[in-house]
Amino acid sequence: MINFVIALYAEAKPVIDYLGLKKLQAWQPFPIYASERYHLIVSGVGRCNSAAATAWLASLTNSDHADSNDVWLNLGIAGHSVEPLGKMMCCHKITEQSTTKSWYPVQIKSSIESSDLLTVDQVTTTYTKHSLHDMEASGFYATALRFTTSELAQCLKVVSDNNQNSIENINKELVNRLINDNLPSITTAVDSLMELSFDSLPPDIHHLEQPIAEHWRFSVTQARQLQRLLHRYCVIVVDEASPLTTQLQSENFTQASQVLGFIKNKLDQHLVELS
Amino acid sequence: MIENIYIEEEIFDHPRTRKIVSRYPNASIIKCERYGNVFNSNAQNFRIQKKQPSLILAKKNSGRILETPVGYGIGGTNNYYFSHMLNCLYDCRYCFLQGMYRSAHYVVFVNYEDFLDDITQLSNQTTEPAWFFSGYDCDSLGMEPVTEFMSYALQKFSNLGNAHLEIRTKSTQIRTLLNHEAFDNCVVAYSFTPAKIANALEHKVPSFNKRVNSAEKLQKLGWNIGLRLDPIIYTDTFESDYSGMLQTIFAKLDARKIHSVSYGPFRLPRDFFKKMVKLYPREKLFAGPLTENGKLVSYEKDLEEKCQHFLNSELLKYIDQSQIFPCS
Repeated sequence: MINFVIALYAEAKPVIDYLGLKKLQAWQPFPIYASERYHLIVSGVGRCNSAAATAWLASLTNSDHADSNDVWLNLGIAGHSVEPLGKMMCCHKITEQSTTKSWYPVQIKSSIESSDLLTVDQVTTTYTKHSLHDMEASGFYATALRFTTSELAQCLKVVSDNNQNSIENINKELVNRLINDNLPSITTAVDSLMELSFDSLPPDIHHLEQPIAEHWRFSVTQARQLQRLLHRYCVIVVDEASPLTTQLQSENFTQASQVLGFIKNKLDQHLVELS
Repeated sequence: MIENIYIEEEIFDHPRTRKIVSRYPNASIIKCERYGNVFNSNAQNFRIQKKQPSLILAKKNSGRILETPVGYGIGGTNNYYFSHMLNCLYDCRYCFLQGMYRSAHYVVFVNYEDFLDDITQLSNQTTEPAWFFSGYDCDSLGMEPVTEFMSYALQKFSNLGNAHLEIRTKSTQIRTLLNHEAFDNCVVAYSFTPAKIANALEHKVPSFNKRVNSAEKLQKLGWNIGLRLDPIIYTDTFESDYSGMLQTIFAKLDARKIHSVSYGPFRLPRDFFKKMVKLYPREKLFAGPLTENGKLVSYEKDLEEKCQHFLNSELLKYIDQSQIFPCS
């Protein structure tokens, strides 16, 4: 799943249109748009709003830090002293101006140029050298790290103002155009993050676990043991003439402990090959 | 290729920092206060980072030289280990670093002088030989062309009477050693598993044959060569794999001149193992005949003993028991 956290509707609209997202009809404290693969939440301006929206979206989508491979993206416009209008950059260091705390989003195989970013609480026209300036990233990032890993939480910023182009020139049309022009790069970035996230999914044991758990009564501890054994089974036993569940049923076991013992013996006697 | 280099503010202008950075002209330079802000902080994924680790240049302020764990050594009584670098270029699936760190970035401590000062001080405290093991948290030579640590350390060690250096490695980056005269109190310790296991589990590592060739080249130049057969990995063809491996090694290396051979069973702290399974849930090694023995995960005791006994008896075909050091 890919989760976008975006401050303004003007920034979000090109993404909503491009990805064909539909607004969730049930009441939400923040507008949320979704499809099977994407969620997008419009947070409003500022790091507190961004943090709150990130947490809300995570709770809504059941993201769980322990196993989550979800991608989280904070997309929006930002100021920079010298970088040209419309240039998209990702952030390798986010510093919160009010607390001076810094975060370091890990960059893996990113094709987008990266930069420091300063999250400010008030609109500024005085740009710190070599830094992007926004108002949300620190709130987003600190919160997103509770639900995913640093490599999969990223901030993508499109330069909207600089020393030559005043922040006062920013309007909905400009914002729309700046994001729209970068949609191909945004989707490329999303795809490469998704590739990273798919890597470490465990084998699916559900098709074995469910019929076994329905047939025999397992204590909580035994259920965990069963999961571990089935995990091992799915990794090392590739082809078997008879499905495991059929083998178990033909043994006429009455106790869960017999089932666990049977699977463990089977695994321990299995040929140990590594490749 | 290194795309991002994090540099601690304190050593930003250190000459060694500048030299290392100059090797990566296209890398993004990111200043950080302390390396711990980037390395190993919460919510990082070792496996994802291993796809493209960044380089972190830092200063090691304390704890540079540490006593080795019990059972680690090759006969000495004063045993220490040190790591001028954290993490490894290679990607061996059995490596404990995957379970110990959340981060796969390479950390290089640029204050080499402090490491060698500490070593000098510790070796001066005793008249007995003091052993200093390099290559615990990294490969000693893997990044030598970049760090040039060993180049610096060898000059110092060759003048320290009772300080003995073990350079543990799987690397074929041996130019530093070829350019330096061999000296008695240094052992180049090559780690091996049989080629079949190496191919399955030791990713990005020079091949078994290339390692043997490097060891042979160094031995011919007078360097002490050690063999490190740790961890021992069990498969259904364990006996033929390990005896074949020893045959190949001793066909190239002069067994009489082998400094030491150590071996140890595959074992990991339980918490490390759990993290590694989570990182690599489809890895067959972790789904094998392993069991929890106290705080360690290892093979069943019988299997472990059988493997060690077999390996020890195979080794005795080539070398003397006094050259063999089992590790636990």
